[in-house]
Amino acid sequence: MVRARWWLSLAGAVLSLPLAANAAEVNVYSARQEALIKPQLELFTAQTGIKVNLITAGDDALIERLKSEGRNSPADVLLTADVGRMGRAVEQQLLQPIRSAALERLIPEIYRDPDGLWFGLSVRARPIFYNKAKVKPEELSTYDALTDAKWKGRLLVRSSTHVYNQSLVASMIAHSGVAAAEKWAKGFADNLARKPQGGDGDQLLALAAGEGDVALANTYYFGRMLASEAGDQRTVAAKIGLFWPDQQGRGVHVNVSTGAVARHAPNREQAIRFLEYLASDDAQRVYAEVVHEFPIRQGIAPSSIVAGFGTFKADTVALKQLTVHNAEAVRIFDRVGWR
Amino acid sequence: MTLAALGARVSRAGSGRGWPLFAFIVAALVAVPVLVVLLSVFAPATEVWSHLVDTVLGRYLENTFWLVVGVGLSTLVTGTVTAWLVTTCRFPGRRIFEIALLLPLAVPSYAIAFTYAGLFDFAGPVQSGLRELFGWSRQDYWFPPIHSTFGAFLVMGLVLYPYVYLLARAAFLEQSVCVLEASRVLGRSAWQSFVQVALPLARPAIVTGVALALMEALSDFGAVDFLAVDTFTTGIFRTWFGLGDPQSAAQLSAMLLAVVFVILALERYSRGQAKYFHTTTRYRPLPGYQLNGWRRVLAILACALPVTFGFLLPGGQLLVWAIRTAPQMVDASFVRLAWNSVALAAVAAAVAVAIATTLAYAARLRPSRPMTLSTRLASIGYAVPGSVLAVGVLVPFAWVDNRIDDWAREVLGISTGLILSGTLFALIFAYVVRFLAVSFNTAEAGLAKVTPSIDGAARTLGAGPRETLRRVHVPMIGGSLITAGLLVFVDVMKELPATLIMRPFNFNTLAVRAYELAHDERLADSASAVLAIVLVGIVPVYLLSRAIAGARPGSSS
Amino acid sequence: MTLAFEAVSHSYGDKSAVADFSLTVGTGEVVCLVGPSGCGKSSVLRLAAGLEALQRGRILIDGEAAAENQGVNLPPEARRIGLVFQDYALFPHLSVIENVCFGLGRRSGAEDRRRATSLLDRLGLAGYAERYPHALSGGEQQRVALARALAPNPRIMLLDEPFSGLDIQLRDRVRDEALALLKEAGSPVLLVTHDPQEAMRMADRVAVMREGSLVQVASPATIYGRPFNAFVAAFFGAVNRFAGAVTGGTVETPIGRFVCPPGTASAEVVVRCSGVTVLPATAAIAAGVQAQVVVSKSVGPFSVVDAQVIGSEASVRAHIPGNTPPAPGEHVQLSTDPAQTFIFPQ
Repeated sequence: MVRARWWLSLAGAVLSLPLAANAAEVNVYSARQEALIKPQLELFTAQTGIKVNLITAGDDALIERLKSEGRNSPADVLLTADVGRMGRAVEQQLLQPIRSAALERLIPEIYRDPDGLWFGLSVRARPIFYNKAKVKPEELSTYDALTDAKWKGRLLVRSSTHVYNQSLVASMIAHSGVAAAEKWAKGFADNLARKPQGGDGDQLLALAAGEGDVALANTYYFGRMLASEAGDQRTVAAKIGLFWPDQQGRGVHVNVSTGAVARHAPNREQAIRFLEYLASDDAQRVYAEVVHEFPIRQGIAPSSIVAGFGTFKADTVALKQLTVHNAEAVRIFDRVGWR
Repeated sequence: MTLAALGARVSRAGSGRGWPLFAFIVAALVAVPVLVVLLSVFAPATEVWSHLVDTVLGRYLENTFWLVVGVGLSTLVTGTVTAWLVTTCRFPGRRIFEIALLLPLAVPSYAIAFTYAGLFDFAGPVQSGLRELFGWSRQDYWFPPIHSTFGAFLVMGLVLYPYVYLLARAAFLEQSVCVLEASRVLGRSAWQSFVQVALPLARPAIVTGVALALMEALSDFGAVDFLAVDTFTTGIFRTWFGLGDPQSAAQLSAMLLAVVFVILALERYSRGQAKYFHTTTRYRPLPGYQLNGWRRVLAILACALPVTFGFLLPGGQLLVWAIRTAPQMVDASFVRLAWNSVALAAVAAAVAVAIATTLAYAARLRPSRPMTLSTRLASIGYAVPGSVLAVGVLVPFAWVDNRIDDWAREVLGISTGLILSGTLFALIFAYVVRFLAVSFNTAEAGLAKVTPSIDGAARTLGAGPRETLRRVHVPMIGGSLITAGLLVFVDVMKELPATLIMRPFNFNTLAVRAYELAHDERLADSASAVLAIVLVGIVPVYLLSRAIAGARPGSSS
Repeated sequence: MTLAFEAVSHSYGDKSAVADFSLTVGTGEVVCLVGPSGCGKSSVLRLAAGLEALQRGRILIDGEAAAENQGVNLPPEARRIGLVFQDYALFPHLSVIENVCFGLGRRSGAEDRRRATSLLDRLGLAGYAERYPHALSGGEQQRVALARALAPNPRIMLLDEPFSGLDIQLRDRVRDEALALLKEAGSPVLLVTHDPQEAMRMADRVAVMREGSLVQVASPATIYGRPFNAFVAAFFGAVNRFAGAVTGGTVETPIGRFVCPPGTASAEVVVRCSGVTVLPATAAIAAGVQAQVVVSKSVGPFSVVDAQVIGSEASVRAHIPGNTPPAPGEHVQLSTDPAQTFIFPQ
């Protein structure tokens, strides 16, 4: 009896699986949340008639799934929130190189893999935020300057487990080597107001509440706060100033969200079309307007809120370097005790 | 030796042969993901390992140790005391507390963590309010930090104590009044009777509850991550993904499992020490000590505190958020999410109970070392961090699918693709692996109360093993099986990492929705989904409470 | 209908429980298996029921092998036997009538119910059909268990200490009722008990077991009157035991000199306490032994007298009729009843 039911449920479960790999479909493994990417998918389907099947999860988990599925994986496209994790997919040969005139024309060279394995799709900067009541912008200059003793007990940042911080330190390794990056991380960690906790938005809240005076966070969260319909969010944002560091030097660090075509993509053509779509004007406008990101390309206007952040010089370190130095960055954090 | 005593060996004879084989295969299959994790231990340690030892391992160990101690003690005390109070004492509100004390079970630990973090951190309303009220600034006061080991075991204790409450209450209800009366006649006070008689008798149940709570605490990622506490589990993630070293991560997992084995061994030992078959078959209503004065106030407080902090407070915060954000967040697709969650949880619960019953019964039919070992392994998945286990399930499924595909390509010239990977079947399998411990322990404990001669009686009356299970054991331990099913149901409703990574395309659940929004730091927006999980969870929690109350021998007729 | 054990041996780990056990129970026969705790009698029952896998030997039901070495091993449900447990093992979730109908097939029809009801009537449980086991007294539970075992017309009946849970008055009555019913059913009955009186009372034949082996199988009268050895003699009643060397064909004991079979070097003399006669010291009996009463006590139907033989360390116990035994200190004369005196060569 029990056994019969077991087999029935098995059959039911197997039959319920969506039949993948129809002609006009593309299967997306996305590390960007559904809410962020849904408007893009709907627009893409409306424009092309190609149906998008979506799974969202953490980037690491998606890479594991891709790896275990091997050559029969249904995945066509992999999307990550930051380029830092793409290196893992490259290392494990889960991606295939793409030649696309459109992608090469639209996306600046520094924002794509030289071999065409992955492409940058949108940009969020990681500048310095400060509590306007406590810090004057003149006191700020570079990331490095935050390791000065005058900031002791005043800095806020999230845990180093997040890829955004890892990419920041990876960029420092790329620019000035492991020792310098470690010295910076140590100096920064020593100046923290509290142990790293919460997300980027939490750093901004703590900043406004006065738990610390200066924070590192991603512009996306600040933009969302400013755009919020909730009054208290805007009150918080009003207490916070944004400062673009290293404008005389290497430029502000940016997080670039990326897309790639899976090595065994069953719908390769549709996958390329999907990436091309994400680089197109329409899609870039969605990134700008709906999710407060900077377009990957020149010539597309950011949203009015993002435009209010002003213009800035971005770090031009090759994104590939960030993928290469990711693991070393994590070790640095471990060594200096930045949890 | 009397027949009954000999009967402890139960039947080794006859047609039960196919049954244990089947059970053994099932147990072995369920154990595969855990084995996948464990086998890595034998790989040589990489250089990352020495990096871990030099830098973070000490902190992981220390935090995990305090977490275990804190959750162990807080669930033990809260669960046992409240169970005793509502079972044997009489005070206003007792009947409401009976049910209400189970409610925190429906609250996902990550949800209580982020509501508490939101309420009690520096920028939260509590501290902001205090600062405003007294004109303090940051240096002027100390507030217990919620982002700490203390905060972590506090909030986890608040949602995990119901495991202990549940089992302890069931145990107290089963105790014969005569034993307690004997204790009173021998000159012990009600309190002394509790400590010296009721508590030792209920010990196996209490220890089982604490073990479940500890396993869940050890495998938890969401709550400790929100509360910024680095435990073994967060360390495993960081090592796997941040350092890109699955091997060292798996070795850390194996260390974690070693801790779990110790906990389980203690639990087994505790249970083995006490093979009490109840000495009397007569039951009368429990005494019901009437509490008055300050005792009454204390009892009400003791029951109200966990309910308030484990359910009302986080639930209230979620409700406030949900009222604000629900208009944007709840749409037609929300119903679909809820249906997916409920259907998945219901199927997983049914399968987990069926398998647990099969295994427990097979172990009873033909106890053997391989059988014992495989059931232990099969039920250890509960303590493995969800994501690690999910990978442990992904890998073998994909491997099998790809081998079938290879074969089909070679022999038939067609590609079968992935048959099982990425299906609900694989997902339900993952749930079973994860939550079998909950259902197996409950089913096994239920079966253990059935005296072996009952099996003999049914068999000699012509019923085969399967018929005996169906006609005798299942009806006899029905209450336990329902309890097991409801526990799995509630757990699956809350489960996240495996659901996230193993689900089919375009398949979302309430937990996935809640996680995505919370992960994007939109806590208020996630409140509707979390609240829906809690509300759906309340139904089985209420049924659970009824099932326990009805389990009292002789109460049905 | 028969039940036969042929050279059955069984052990748990390296601990032997049953050794070379052979026994046949015939149609309509009641055989009681007795022995002290741990002698292996329950194992024999479990082997017959199929609850334990046979290791060596053969068990035949109606001449057919139910279990044979590593060969055939019918599961309990295929043996068509009835088994009554010491703890009755009633199904607590089923009513009395459902319990009794349990073995009558999955869907018990009206016919089955009638049969079950008539069995319950016979056992004095007419009004109890719809009750649940926890609402029954021990004696009632015992009778339900018996009815349940009998209902499917088993080929053989096995009972494990079935009456040990009952108080004395109830035990006698239930035992008689049960015996009548079992006899009427006519299947071979194997009943395990540790109570020699119960065995004597119920059995057509008594099988005495010790340390896994059968010592003697015989009618109650033979067992009592002609025990095979001192163990059997002692098991069925209080005895005095004296050992001594044989000189000139006789053995000398504190209670007298007894003739031994030729060719024995030493012998044990066993005298039932009821076989010791206590007379006033003045009575003139040829074989009498002088003794002094140490303890005496009336226990109702008879009196127990412990007396020390004059000129010896030995103490002799006697069960004598009446309840006015000689007082302690009194001198008495002891003699033995030959029918209750057994001499076993050693």
